[in-house]
Amino acid sequence: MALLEYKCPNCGGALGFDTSVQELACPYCKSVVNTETLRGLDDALEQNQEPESVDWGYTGGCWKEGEQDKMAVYSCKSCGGEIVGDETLGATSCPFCGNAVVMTSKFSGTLRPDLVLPFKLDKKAAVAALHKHYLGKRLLPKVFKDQNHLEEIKGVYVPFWLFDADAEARTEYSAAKVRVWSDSRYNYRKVSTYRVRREGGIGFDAIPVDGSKSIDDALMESVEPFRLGEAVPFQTAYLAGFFANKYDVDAEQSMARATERVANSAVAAFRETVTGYQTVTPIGANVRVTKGGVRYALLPVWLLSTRYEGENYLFAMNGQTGKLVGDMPLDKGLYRAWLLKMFGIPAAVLSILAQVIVSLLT
Amino acid sequence: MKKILFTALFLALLPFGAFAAERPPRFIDEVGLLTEAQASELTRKLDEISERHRFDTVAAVVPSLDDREARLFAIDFFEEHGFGYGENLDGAILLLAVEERDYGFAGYGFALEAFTDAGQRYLEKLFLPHLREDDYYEAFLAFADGVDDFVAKAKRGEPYDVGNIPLTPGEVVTARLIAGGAAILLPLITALVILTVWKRQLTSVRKDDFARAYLREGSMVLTSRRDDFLYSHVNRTRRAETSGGGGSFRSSSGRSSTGRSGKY
Repeated sequence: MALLEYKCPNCGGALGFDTSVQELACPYCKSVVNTETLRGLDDALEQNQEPESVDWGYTGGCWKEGEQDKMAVYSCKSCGGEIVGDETLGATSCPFCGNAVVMTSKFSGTLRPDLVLPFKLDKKAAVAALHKHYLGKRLLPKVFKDQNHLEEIKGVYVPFWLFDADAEARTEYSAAKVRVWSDSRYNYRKVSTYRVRREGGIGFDAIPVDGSKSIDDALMESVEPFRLGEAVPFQTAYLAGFFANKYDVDAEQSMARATERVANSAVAAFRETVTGYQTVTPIGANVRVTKGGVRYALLPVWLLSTRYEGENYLFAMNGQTGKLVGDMPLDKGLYRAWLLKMFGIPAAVLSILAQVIVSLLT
Repeated sequence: MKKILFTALFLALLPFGAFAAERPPRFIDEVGLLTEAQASELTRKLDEISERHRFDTVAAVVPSLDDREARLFAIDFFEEHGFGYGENLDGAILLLAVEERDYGFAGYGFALEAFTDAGQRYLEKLFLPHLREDDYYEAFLAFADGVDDFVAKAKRGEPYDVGNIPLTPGEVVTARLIAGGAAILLPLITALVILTVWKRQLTSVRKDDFARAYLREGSMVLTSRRDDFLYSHVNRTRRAETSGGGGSFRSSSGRSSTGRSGKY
């Protein structure tokens, strides 16, 4: 399996992508290396790649059938340490020497992403965002907040499919205008019912759909939107220092979700043109994608995980915009205490006051 | 001298005594709703109130109104039977027509002062609940007590009107229940709404079923826009009335009177 490591041309240390300067930087001698100049270096290194697998001569136990199907083994070029990962692993750091390594074979040929959106925010920003996320959450267990034992923080380039779509929409609504008036004896309510139709075209650019099975789709949709105008042509150099996966959900499988989001958005957009009615109920919609395009991109996400009372809690932060999401535990004791404070005490006081006021009025 | 005084007193009382003898009792029951004992007790009470206030207080039960408004029927009935004190015919009547379950309250003379519109609505609250339960005797007793109270208040220059209408015992219970319920529900709903908002703050992972952020600017084009009228429907509901029509009106004889009509 081909591995790519970026070595500092000054001291030979392992380079990593620095989000603050948006270039590769050496953590040892602080040298900054232009990513553009490394394009050529990518090619040179790829030409000098060693065979994908190394025979270490070990003749021990055998894997059972199927056990290795989703497993891949790599050797670190710096220290020779063996890195075991799943077959989608595209970039990681060596657990022995800490060097950033990129499995270039995961991003070559037809697997090569079209775009990469470089990380704009670093690990410190992710931790700060998590602390900010905790603020103002009155029902969050204090222990969860205080202990703050983050088990893992990693920057991951998540594989996404970006769908461009032009669609034609035909939508139909039942709408009603209501007029109310009265005379001396009766109240009147006139309901006029209309059938409203809207037809037209609508276009979307780069709707992202998560191409990784191992990452929750809802989590990825929650950190959206990504400003994809800032995406650049893919270079492996951007992956240095981060984790990266290749897709394991292909474009065809992802298309359904993109189409669903296009249809929902088209119906909602055309609904906004139906005005002047008191009620509007959608009764039919036909959205047809007439022209589409798909690109493969790696988008930056910080994943932060922690454990509380035996449960895993995973947070994700958009590595470009800093939007952080993640479900948190509820402190049931705090909930009951607040319920007592906000309901029990005021109810007791108000009950007495109410009876006193009624007595005074009668 | 004593003989002259006695004769003068006898002569002075003679017209009233003769009138009292000709006039029908103050409770007239053409249907036989009450027992004899009840009718007798009610008549005694009505007589006592009427004479004490010099304000004829009458109760009557008839089979039907012959398509007339209840209060108009009541005041004509009052006048035709010779009720009413003085030239203004001071007095009031509560008349029931049992076939259609109508009631009419009406009064002449001092009744126009004693029974304001708001006061009449309060008087209704005193006897109407008994009528609705077909407890006619209690309804008439409540009416008689009400008239006693109303006339006494009006004579003191403080007729029941907006601002001094007391709550009925039933209304006091209702007010206590509503106030108690509100005192519990208000903080409960407030607490639950706030806690729900706080609970929702802990959940931020949600699918986004839309793609608004990726809508291409200026790409939306409407090629067809139709709003076709299908049909309309008018729903008419009678405006709410507290019970029956009320206020000043004229009797068949042209006298100014006050009263209310309604169903029980």
